Amino acid sequence: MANHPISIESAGGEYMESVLVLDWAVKPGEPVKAGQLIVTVETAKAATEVAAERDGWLAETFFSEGQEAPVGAVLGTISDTKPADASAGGPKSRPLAAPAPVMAAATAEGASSEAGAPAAVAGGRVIASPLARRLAREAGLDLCGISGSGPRGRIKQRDVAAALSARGEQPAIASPVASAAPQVASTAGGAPQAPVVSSVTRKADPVILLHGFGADRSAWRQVLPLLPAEFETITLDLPGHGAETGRSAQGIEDLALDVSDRIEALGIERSHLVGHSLGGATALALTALGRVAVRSLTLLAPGGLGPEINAGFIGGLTRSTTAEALERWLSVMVADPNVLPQGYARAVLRSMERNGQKAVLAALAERLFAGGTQAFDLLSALRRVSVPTRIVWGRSDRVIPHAHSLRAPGSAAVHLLDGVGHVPQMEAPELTARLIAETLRSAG
Amino acid sequence: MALMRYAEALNAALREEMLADPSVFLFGEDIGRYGGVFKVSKGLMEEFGESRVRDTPISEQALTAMAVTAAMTGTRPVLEIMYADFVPLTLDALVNQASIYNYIWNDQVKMPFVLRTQGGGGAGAGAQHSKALDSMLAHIPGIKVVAPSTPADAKGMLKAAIRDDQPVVFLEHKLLYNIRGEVPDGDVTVPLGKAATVRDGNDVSIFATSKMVVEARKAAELLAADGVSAEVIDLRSLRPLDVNAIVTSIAKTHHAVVVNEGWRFCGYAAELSATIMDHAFDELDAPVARVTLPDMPIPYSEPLEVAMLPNAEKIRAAALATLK
Repeated sequence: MANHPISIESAGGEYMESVLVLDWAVKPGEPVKAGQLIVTVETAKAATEVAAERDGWLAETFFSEGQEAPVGAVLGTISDTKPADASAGGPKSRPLAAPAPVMAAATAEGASSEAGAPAAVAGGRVIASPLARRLAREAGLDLCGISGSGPRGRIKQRDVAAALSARGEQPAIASPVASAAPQVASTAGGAPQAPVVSSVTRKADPVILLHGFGADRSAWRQVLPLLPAEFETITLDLPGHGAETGRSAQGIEDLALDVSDRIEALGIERSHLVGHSLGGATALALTALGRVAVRSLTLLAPGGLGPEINAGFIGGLTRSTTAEALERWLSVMVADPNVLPQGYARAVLRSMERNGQKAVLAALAERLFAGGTQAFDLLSALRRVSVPTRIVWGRSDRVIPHAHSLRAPGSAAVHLLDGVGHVPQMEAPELTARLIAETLRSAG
Repeated sequence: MALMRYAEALNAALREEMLADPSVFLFGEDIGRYGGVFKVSKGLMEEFGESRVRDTPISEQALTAMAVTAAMTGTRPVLEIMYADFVPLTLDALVNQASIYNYIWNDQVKMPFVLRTQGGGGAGAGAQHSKALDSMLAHIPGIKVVAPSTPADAKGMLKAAIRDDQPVVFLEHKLLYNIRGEVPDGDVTVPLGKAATVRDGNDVSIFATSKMVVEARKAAELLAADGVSAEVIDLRSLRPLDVNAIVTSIAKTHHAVVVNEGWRFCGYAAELSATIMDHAFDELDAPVARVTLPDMPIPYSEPLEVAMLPNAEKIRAAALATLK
């Protein structure tokens, strides 16, 4: 079930930053036909009708009527298949720019799902109290995966405490409040409702997903919701990427050490690793380090299994200065450029230009892929891996040749996907999620 | 220990300080023969005579200038301004003289006077006799502003204020004069600038002064019935402010309600909120809640006045809101 963004690129003029959502003509769960009016937005000049670009079902809406949406935002999505839960109407509080950066990480299933909504996100920013932020920072916990139980979905201390306790940890604060908070729950009508703090210890080890070069943790957004619910998932930005632009790395070991430090800081001793491309190489190097016990490995078009890499793609990625140029390079990444959401190149460019990430990436590329060669060899690391390992590669990969997979040892399962390029998680999310799930479960 | 009313405790403080220091003298409107509108100086003219307890004409501006010059020339005057509502008439002497002479003259003058006044609503005294203008006074650097809530603090802090070499504005409340409380015997002072924890709690901290401490304590009782453990901090002194006590309490409860009987906009509650964010931002689990008077005149009509003034129920609601 692929979801396609409803874009307002065409609705806005050149000189505006946002539009006002006036009216959804279709409710989530209802079918739509290509060309059918789906939503009306108010631009600077007039009310503009946005038509469906394809047949399908309206899956989600991210902006409600009366809400302002930035130009370039995804208003909602059209699904190829009828959504399972058609009744789940109503806009989700996730007004995200395209491509929607995914905030879901740890699924905090230990916390009461009564609050329902994912962590409150406004314009991509998590709403959390200063105390919750501090405690999460100290515990190395990612607030993105936590549901907020406070007003407007604000993450409060009790939510962090619940997430930590679900992880089997006590909040590391010398504060009596954690124990005091449940008292509030006993309050009679009209009083605040503290969430039920579940102290369920997670049965399964968490799954850590590592993205590829030039991407960030949002790379997993299509796959994450499709993974089995019993697994806690954690996405990290690699150094030089996403929120970690301030840090860089000298080589693949550096990347692995950095990620290993962060996993340890989260208090995780055992985990499943899923890595894409450079993230796959990092996962292998991390496994070789032996500092974190790895339960299973799922490698999507991983680096490190051969010298070749598409230097033009890497260079184009770090050198493009316009969305149009970048779009042409990004289309190299996938077998069918249509899977790239509209406005994707522009959003990637914007994100790369933020905080001077382009320069950081270029420097990293110089160290990792100097002269169009992968500067690291992880084949022997792969041969030493003794846990369930699955390699997934698109036969149409134009960035790293899928033939590298043939060097995998007999213990690793190799899946070659037809009609898929370098990014299986984006091009074939259902199958990729299924293969990840099979790896996780085969680890017992 | 003796059980005393708030007004009696103030009277005892004045009397003891006058006995101990001949440079202490009192003046103000109707404080002598009449003993003060709220009977704080009752009997003192009889005991100390008309030169040390002076009835004056009605000119707050002149009276405050008198206090400034009397203090500069070596005495320790205690001036009573009958209603805090008349404090604006005293502002030139406070803002342009008392608070800065020490600075302008490089510490060659001291300014040891006390301006006692009383403010606040709840007595049906109308828009011109019910205001708490503590924010306006606490805004002035170089002046101490204190507002005790108990008879013991009233006595101990008035004694400390009279001995202080800086100008001290001593804020009383018309609805506190008749409350009773245990007051330590003898020459006991309470330092200016130290808060008191009047009720321990774990879930939310309530900060207040003067009559609002009484409301905060009632609110804490209501909250206890709600299952919420509220800590009540009597700041006692608006300036200097005991920031340490505030931060310590918030580090424990992570939720703060600040209460002030004055207006909201640019008010003392706003100052407290900002102070909390300056010093304890990372301890906050919710925005600081302010409970104040709305930005309107205080009505004479009793039901309207009750509806406007901050009270225990409003403090309780604010505390519960921060815990949501």
